[in-house]
Amino acid sequence: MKGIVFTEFLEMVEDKFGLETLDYIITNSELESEGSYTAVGTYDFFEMQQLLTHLSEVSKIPVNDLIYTYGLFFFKTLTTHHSDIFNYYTSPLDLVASIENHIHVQVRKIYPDAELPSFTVKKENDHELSLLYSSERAMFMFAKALMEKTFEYYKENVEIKYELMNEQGTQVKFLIKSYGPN
Amino acid sequence: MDLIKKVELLERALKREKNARKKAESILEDKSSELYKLSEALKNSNQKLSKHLKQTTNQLEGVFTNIIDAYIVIGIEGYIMNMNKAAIKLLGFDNKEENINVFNLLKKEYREYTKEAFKQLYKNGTFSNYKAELITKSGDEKVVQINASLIYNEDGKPIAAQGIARDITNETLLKQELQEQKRQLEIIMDNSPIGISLSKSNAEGLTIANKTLVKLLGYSRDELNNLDPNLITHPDDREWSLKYLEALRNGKLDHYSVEKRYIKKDGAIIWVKTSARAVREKNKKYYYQVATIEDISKEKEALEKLKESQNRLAALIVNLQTGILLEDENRNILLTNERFCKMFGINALPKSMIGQNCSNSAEESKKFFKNPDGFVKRIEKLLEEKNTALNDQLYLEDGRIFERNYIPIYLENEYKGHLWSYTDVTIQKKYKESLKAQKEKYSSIIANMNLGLLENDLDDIIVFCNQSFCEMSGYKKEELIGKKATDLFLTSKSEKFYYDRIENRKKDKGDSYELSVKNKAGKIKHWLISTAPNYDVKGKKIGSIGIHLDISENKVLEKQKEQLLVSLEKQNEQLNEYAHIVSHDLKSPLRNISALLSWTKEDFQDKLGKDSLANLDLMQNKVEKMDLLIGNILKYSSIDNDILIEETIDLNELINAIKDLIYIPDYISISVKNELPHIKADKTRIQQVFQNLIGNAVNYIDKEKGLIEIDYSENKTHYIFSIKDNGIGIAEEHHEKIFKIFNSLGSYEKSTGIGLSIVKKVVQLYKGKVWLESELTKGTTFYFSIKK
Repeated sequence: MKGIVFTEFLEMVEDKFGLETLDYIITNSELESEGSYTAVGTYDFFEMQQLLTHLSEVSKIPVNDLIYTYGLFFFKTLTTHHSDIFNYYTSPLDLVASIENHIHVQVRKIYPDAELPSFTVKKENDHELSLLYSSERAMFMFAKALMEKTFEYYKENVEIKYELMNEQGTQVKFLIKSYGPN
Repeated sequence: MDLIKKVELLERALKREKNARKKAESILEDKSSELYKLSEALKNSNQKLSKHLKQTTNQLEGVFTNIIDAYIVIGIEGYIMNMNKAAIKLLGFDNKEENINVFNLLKKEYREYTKEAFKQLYKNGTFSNYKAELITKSGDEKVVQINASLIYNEDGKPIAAQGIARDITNETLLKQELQEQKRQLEIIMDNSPIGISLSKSNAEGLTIANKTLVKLLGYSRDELNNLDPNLITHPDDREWSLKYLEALRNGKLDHYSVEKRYIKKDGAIIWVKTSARAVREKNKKYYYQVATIEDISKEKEALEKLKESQNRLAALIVNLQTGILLEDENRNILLTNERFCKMFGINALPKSMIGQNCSNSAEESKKFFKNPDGFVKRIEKLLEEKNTALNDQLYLEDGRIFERNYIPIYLENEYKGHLWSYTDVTIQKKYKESLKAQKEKYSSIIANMNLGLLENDLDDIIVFCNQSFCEMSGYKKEELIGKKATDLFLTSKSEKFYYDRIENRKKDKGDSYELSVKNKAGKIKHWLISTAPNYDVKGKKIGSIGIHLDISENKVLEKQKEQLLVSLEKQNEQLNEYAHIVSHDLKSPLRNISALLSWTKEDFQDKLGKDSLANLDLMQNKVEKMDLLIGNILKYSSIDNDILIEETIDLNELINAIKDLIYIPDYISISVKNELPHIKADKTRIQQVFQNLIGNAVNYIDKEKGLIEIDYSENKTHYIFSIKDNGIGIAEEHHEKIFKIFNSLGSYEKSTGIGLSIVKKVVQLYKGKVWLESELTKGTTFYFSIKK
């Protein structure tokens, strides 16, 4: 998993739960990196799992909710570093629809070893999109948060429903319905 | 949280940060060394590639500069960057000497096409078979064909285009010429009014068939390509035309021309004239067969019609009322008719005479003619000259007259024979002659008559005049004809009268009038003119004919007569007046003498002797007679002067009154045989007439028993009265004399010689006559008539 995901996660934990909680979840996890992350490095996803589990224990917040919150936090990083993508698309629906074929293609160019979820996109009509999320990481709530934030960025109302295709949540079907500008 | 714990926590956090930084630095270090190695490798390979490229370029340049075709490299802007010798030769330009843009060499009309070609070149990298016309340095036009491709730089961006150009100017010209020739041939073929076909002996159908043939036969070109011409030949013509074809095939014939029938696609039959020719070439097993097919349906039809009309003509000639003899150039009879045989008394059928030679016929038939030698000579002359001669008159011995025409017949300027035609004009001729004689007769009448004849056209221009007119007018004939009659003859006085007369004359009516004209000498003449419109044969008015009579002399006489009458009247009047005066003036002295005589006789009755008294009585009688005479003269002279009084008179009463008035001795009896009519007249005058006539009868009766009969009869216009006596009678020689004044016959003492004159004058006044029948010693009957 890319280093930036860890550095931003730690940033969020320090910001929302305090340095103490951060220190706690790092010291309690068995981390190969010993909790020292650099954005340009690559780290095992297992470390993230441990960090999330410990945070959920300390904060009494379910893991998925934490992932969702992290997704909302992480969106800002995307807009800061990759504003060109947001300028390229004029509609959030188009942007979402192009994740697999455009955005991820570009990501792989920079990070050839990146492990990315796959999205099977199906356009239902001009306002609706169905999307099948597949990833061993089961971080679909992260994806949901990013999508919501995208619509917010373009100032459009959206309703995102999801349905878990299995218990682990490695395959999730999203139904995104846009209500146009707010 | 206690401070120590906090410090420990922060230390841990710091340691993590330091570790993270070191990790990041080592990652970056690794990455940069990795990049350095990569760039070194790239440099190396780049150098290798450049070297290789240069080598290849040199090699290629060598190839291109040495190839025969022109090779040109142009930049993106179109400027020539490189060109080989052939290209320099082709264009005349050299890029080493001047900057040349290929677009400027193009002919205008190729610019658009070239732009499009360049677009294609950029898109596809190559463009082949580009053709355009260029203008070389020397100004020549060249047609070039170019195959081009793009040249890219290291980045794969096109930087230039290279092309191989071929000069195809001559090739194009040749191609054009060939096409033009082909087109010309096609034009000739397709516009020929005659069908043309070309076929190969070793192929079925026609290789080429022109439009006319297609139209002629009704089959399309494709159909004709697969059609055996013999199959569309009319079944009746198939066999023999195939023989011709075979003769052509096996070389017996090279050419033939026949008239035959084809059956068109629509089944109609068409007559054509086909000329076929075999065109054999050496070293070739097959030969070409060229055929022209001409539609002669119309000619055929015309020929049929001609035959028909010839037949009709022949029938016509046979039945013609003119004798016809048609001979060929050798004088053999081609045609003659019944009329001809009849005219010359030939007892043969016209048909049987065809083919007979006529060389001797003039000699044989000359006996028919009045001038046999002339007849023969004329025929010889005609035959020699061969000119058309019409209406020769031939006089035959038997009195007939023939009119003969000789017409030579030429066919395409070649003498082919001649046609004799004879017409019996005997009757016509005689008629003409009599007509001519008549005309001459009338012409001489017109020329010699005393009346001037003038014929004018509608503009009053003189067309004809006779001799008399010339004499009348003083002009010669040639001075008159063509002149305007009105200009010549009208005077200023008669002009108005003439034009008024013309104006008022009824259209197309004749007119007679007197006109004063001037003759050539300018002398005024009076003409009586009778004119009438003149018409031509068709009844169209063409002018007028006028007959002129010179009445100038009559005019003079008339004038003299008028003058005479006037003076006579005057004299008469004077005479009447004179008579009146004289008789009045004479009467009173006479009355005085008579009174004086009576007084002298009474005074001297006793003193005068018997003889003297008798003389006095005689004197008295003479005076009385003189008085009576003067009275009667007065009456006579006053007859004209009195105005006639018209009243109804009962003549029976009138006669009775007269019986009482005059002394009638007893031995004379007066009887009225028929009751007399009542007439309208002046009673006094009528009484004078009856009284004078009855008085005369009484006076001249010498018989013992006198008899006077009064009678009357009437006709349509007059009453006729008669007074008959049995007196002394009047000798014939005196019958006229007695009516003259102062003439009396015999010795009757009281006769004044005026009585009958008065009778005549009165009767004339009533438009009657007086006449008498008489026999000496037997008696006289006076008749007089009075107009009703």
